[in-house]
Amino acid sequence: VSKKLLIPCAKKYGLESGFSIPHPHMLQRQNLDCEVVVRLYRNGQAIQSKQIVIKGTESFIQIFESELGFVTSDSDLITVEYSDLKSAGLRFANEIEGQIILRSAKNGSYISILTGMVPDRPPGYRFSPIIHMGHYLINENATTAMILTNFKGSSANIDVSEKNNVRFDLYSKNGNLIGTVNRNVPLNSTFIYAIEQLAQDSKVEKSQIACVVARGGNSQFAIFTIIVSDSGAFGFEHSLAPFYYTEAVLNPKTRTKFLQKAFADL
Amino acid sequence: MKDIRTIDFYTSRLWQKTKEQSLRARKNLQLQFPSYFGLPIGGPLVQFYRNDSQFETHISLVNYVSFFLPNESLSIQFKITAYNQNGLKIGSASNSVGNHETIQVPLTELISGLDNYGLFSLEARYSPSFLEAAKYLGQTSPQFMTLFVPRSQRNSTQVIHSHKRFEKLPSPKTQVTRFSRMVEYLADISNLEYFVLNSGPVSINSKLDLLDAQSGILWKTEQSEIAGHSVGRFKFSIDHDSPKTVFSRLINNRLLQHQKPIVFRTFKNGITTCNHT
Repeated sequence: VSKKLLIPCAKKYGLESGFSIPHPHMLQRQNLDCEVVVRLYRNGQAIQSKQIVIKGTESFIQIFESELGFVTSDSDLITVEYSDLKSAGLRFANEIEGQIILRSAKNGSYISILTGMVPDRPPGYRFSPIIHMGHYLINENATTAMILTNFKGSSANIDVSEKNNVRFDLYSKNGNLIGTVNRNVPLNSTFIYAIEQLAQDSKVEKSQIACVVARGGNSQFAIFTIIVSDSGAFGFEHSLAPFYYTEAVLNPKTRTKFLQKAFADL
Repeated sequence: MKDIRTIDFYTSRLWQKTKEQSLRARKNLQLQFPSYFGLPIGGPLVQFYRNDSQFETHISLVNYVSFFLPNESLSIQFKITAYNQNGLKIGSASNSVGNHETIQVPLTELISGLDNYGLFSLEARYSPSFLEAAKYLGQTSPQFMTLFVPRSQRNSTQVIHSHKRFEKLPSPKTQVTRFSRMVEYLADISNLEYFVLNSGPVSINSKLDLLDAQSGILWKTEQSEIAGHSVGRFKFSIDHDSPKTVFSRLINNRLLQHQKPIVFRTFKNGITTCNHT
C-alpha cells in the first residue's frame, strides 16, 4: 500500500503550505536518487502533480507550494508520496514521518508538525469512523479551527461525490451536550471548521463550548487544530488516533464492540 | 571499546524489554482481576512546562473514557506532579473530571512554586476503579493536551500532545542516537531553543547537533548533563553563515522513553512557535 502525507491548505489564514521529507537512505548515504510525487487535489480529483528528485547526496527535501507552481484554495489538499517505498525498506515505510509546514505569506514565520503518512486505500475499502475530541479549542484571544484532511483514495474508480458525514457534538464545561452539527466533509479535501462557524451553525454561544467531539466519516483522516491569534501568530497541532487511548481498537474482537458503543447513535 | 558499547547496547535493550514485560504482566493481571486491581491505565505520562517571561503552561483535561462509553458513568482523577530544573519534586495536585467534562487550567493554579521550565507527570485513576462495561477497552491511557500560552499578545498559544511515559526506574547506560525529521527553514529565524526532556530518574549526558539538511554536515553542537526528571535547554543563535535548512540529532547516553526534544523557534519579527521534533 502506498502511503501519503496529507497536507492541508489554509489560504484563508494567509498561510502557504509546504513539507519536508527525508531521503529514505539519509543515514546510509548510498548516493541513490529518490523520487517523490506531489499532487494537488481539488474537488476530490488530482488536478496538478509534480515529480521531485531527492538527490542521493541530500538528507531531506523541503518545498513550498509556490515553488511547486501550485495555486491553492482553502479546500484543496496536497499529497506527497515516495514513488518507490519498497526500496526504502519495510521498517522505514512503517515508521515514516513527514513534516507539514504552514508559512505566513506576510512575515515568513511558520508553524509545523511531524506526522505519519496515511495509506492510499483501494476502492471498496471499509474505513473505521473517526472520533476526535477537541477539548483544547477555546481561546478568548484567538480563533481556533479544526482542520480535517481526508483521503479516500487515488483510484479513478473512487466516487468522490460520495457522502462523508461527520457529526460534531458540542459539550459545555460541565459535560452537557449543548449542540450538534452534521456536515458532509468532501472526499480528498481539506475541511476547515472554525469554532465561530461551529457556534453559528449550532446556534450555541462560542463561550459555552468547552469540547467538540467529531465522529463519523468514511475516509482516511488526518486531523489538526490551528490557533489563529488576533496578532496574526499561529499555533498548530495534530490529534492522536484512538489507539493511543484504548487498546480496544487494535484488537479485531474488541474493535467491533468499540465501534458499536462509541458510534451507537450515528 | 567496541565490545563495551555492544555490551551496553544489549544490556540496555534487555533492561528495557524486562521493564516492558513487567508492565505487560501488571496489565494482564489487572485485566484478569479488574475488580481487585482496577482497570489497567497506562502512564504516568510526561510533558514539559514553561513558566517564564515568554509562556505559561495550561493543561487541558477531558474525560475521554466517557466518549467511548456513552451510557456509563465514570469520573477520572488526574494527578499532576511538577519538577523543577534540577529534577526535584515541587508539588502535586489532583483534579476530578466527570462524564464528558473538560477542564483547562493554568499549571500555576494547580501547583505553586514552578520553575522557569521543567517536567510534569500526569497519571489517571478511574472512579469507580472497575466498571464491567469498560473492561473491553483493555488498557487505556490518559488523554490531555499541554498549551503554552504566550505572555505577550504578539504570539499565539502553542499546543502539544503527550503519549510518552514518565519513568520511575533508571535504565543502564548506552549511546542512543535519534535523528529528527523536523527541518527548520532558517531564513527568517533568529534563534532555536530545544528543550530535551529526561523522562528517567537519573542524570543523562545529552548532545544536540544541528546538521545541514541538504548535505548532512554538522553545523552546530551543544552538550549538557541533564538531571533526572528535568529538562536540558539548548539554544542556538542563527547567524549570517547558517545553512538554508537544518535538522537535529540527539545523542543521549541512556535509552529514554522521551526522545523528541521540543523546539521553540523565534522568528526575526518576534513570533515564537513550537512543536516536538
